[in-house]
Amino acid sequence: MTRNILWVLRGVAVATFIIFAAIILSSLNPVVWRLSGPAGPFTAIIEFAVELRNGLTLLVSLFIEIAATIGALIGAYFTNQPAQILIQPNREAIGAYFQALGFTFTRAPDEIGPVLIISLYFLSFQILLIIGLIAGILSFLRISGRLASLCFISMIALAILGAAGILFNFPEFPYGFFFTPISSFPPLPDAAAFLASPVFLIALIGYIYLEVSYQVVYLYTLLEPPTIREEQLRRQIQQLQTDAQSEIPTRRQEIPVPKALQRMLGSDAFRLMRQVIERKLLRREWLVELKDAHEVRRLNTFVTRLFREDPEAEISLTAKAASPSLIRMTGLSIGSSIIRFAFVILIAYICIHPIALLLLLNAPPIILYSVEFLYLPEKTLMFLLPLSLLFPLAATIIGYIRQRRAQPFDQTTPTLSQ
Amino acid sequence: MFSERGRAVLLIGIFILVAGFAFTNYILTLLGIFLIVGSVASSPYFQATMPVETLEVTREIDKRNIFQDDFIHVKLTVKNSGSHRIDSVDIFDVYPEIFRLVLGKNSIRTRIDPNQEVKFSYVLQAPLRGKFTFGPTKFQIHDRLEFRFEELSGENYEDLLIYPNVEEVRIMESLAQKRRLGYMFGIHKTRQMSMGTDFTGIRRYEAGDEYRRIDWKSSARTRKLMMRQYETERNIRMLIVLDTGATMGAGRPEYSKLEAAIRSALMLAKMAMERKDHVGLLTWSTKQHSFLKPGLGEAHYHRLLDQLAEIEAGGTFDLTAVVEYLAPRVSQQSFFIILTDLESNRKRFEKGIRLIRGYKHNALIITPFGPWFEIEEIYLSPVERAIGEAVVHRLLEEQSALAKSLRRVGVSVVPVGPGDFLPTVLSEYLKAKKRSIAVI
Repeated sequence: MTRNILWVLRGVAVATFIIFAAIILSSLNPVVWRLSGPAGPFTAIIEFAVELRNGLTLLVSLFIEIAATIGALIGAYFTNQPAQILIQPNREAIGAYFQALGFTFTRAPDEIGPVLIISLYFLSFQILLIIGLIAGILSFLRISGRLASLCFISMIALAILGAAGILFNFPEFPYGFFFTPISSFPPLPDAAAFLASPVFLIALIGYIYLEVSYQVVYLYTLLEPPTIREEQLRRQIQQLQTDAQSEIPTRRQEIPVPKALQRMLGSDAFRLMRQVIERKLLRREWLVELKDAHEVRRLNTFVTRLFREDPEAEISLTAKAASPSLIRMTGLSIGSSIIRFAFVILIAYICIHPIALLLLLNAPPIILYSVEFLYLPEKTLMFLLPLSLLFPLAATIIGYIRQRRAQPFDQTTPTLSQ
Repeated sequence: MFSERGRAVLLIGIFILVAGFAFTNYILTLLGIFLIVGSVASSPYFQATMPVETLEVTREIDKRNIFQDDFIHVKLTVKNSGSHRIDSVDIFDVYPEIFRLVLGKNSIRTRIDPNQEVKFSYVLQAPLRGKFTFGPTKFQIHDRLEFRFEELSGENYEDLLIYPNVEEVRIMESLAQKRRLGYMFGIHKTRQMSMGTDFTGIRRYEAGDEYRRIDWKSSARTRKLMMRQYETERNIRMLIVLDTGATMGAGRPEYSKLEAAIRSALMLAKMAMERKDHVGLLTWSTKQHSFLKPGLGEAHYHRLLDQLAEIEAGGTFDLTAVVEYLAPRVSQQSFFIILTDLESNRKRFEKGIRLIRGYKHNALIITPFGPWFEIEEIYLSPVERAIGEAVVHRLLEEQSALAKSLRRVGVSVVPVGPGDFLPTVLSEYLKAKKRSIAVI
């Protein structure tokens, strides 16, 4: 039963991953994958390799230039002829040597830097996609919070990279590559329109993916260990009973000696050799085996007596009693997630549209129309910082009160009198 | 406090928010806000429901005193007597490191509802004798998404006394039982202790001998008066002096000189008490010492067992101090069996032996030879082996010089290894008994 439930949980994890990944990938402009290039899906990596070679060539030419100048200076110093500095070393010859090694430019040197960065930028999409997919699949297989986080980070990094496209001044993509241009405008201030806006929904799905992944990990870590523990104990006890019934090894146990060796040695020599081998090799192993067999028997006797005298022992060893109820846990998980979503959405709404809250509070026009509430970073931070710090502050106060209660004030302590 | 995951989510949230601001992207801005608020939103509830005073933990150990290599069942019950549920708690019960976990686990991750309890247990094996402490039970309480955690620790400590291994004693008792039941008739000689005499042989008559002891059959055969000769078996007073200095505990704990000496002392005491000899025990080091006057009986044996169980290696051994301590306490002539590795101050040791002889006691030194215990099963490089051999030679020379000097005052030194410790101690005891040393 529990095994099936664990598979259902895996199913939930993989479903949220697929939805999340599909939304992020569909929000990215397909240009970022460079599929239309001559090498198809490998265009990005080939472009990067070419530009990397250009970059290395540039480094090599710089190195030659510096080395030649230093060489001229040294020559001038030792020959005591300053005119030597004016003699140009044979740069062409050195350059030809490196060209023969494959260090050649395919574009003008001053273009290499920016183009190399752009090719790396496009290659990063593919790398992050591969990391994200692998982490997503592994997190489904292993149900690991760490892998779910890695998958989330990779996918969000894709979105950030897409949005960062505006930095490169592509004339045809002025808003970057991620869900453009809609994501550059805030959702409408009307609450219903806000909740229904694609910008909000995409962000919410990203958050839901993370929350659901962690909830699944939580349920999994509580449900799986008791099952494994029970199976392990059953296996151990079964093994114990089997081993306890097996024969105790005896000292007379003999090492098999090849027939050829027996023929080669005479009967006396063979007997002597056998004795030596047995004494040297067998004695110690036999002692170890004997001790193990003895221990197994004792442990088996102990466990049998324990289960007979304490009927609860088997339950407590498998920790069956500690296994929580799945239905109750799932219900509470869903409940707590809904409460958290409500909180998070409310605060996000206030931070994006602080005017709505200010109107509700009848704030004076001087505040309502202040510059801070017109632009994105200021208006969001004005509310986000105090609201998000309110929670740790409340937690600290509660912790302090609890600590005070745990160490009540000693009434007998004398107080200072005037 | 924030867990690793909580910190990561918060930092990722801040990063995404900043990216959203930088690229004027509202999806990223909203996601950043979600993550930041989501990572801190549960903090007040988590702190308010922290079960600091409402978590009760009980540990039940099925036996309080056990013998080395025995098994124990440890059962833990954790109750949440508060009104809030604990969503996720890692419970970890601390047991002495030297114990072997053979069944079950000493930790669990679970959730506990209000007024509910969880039980789990595990089976341990005690591979060493001594006094050990169990506890505390540690709790790591997480919130549901593991963004926050708090660590609590119960103050539940329990002591457990592990007696030395009595495997040899059990075998001896089992053989004695078989002998009593007649299963092994004729295998061993039976000593009729109640008679108090043993037949040792036949000799020529000497003037003054009792006529009732004339052996007529042999007299007729030899045509001379022959006497039956008896030897009275007399009980002796023995004191086992055990060096518990740090050097005795060197090497792997279960195979140290001290453990071998304790097992030998226990077996010797058991054997001697069965033969109605008085046995006492003195364990000595500058750090800890205890003394049990020579005595007899089951209760005395158990006191001796307790004393052996509580020994800890540490400090140094000083035989002169031992004798000065014993002088007012042991006035009657006794046979001292000193179990020491002879790695303490030599001059003080020799002085101690002379004092023992001065008080008319007899002594025998059984010395576990350090290298045979400590460098067993260790693969050494040729250089290390050469150094080891040099050390062994030096130690042997020192010990033989000491043995030579002690022989002059009538005290023997018997070196032993891990394999022959017990047989040597027992055979030396039997020899002493035969010679009627320190009779009561």
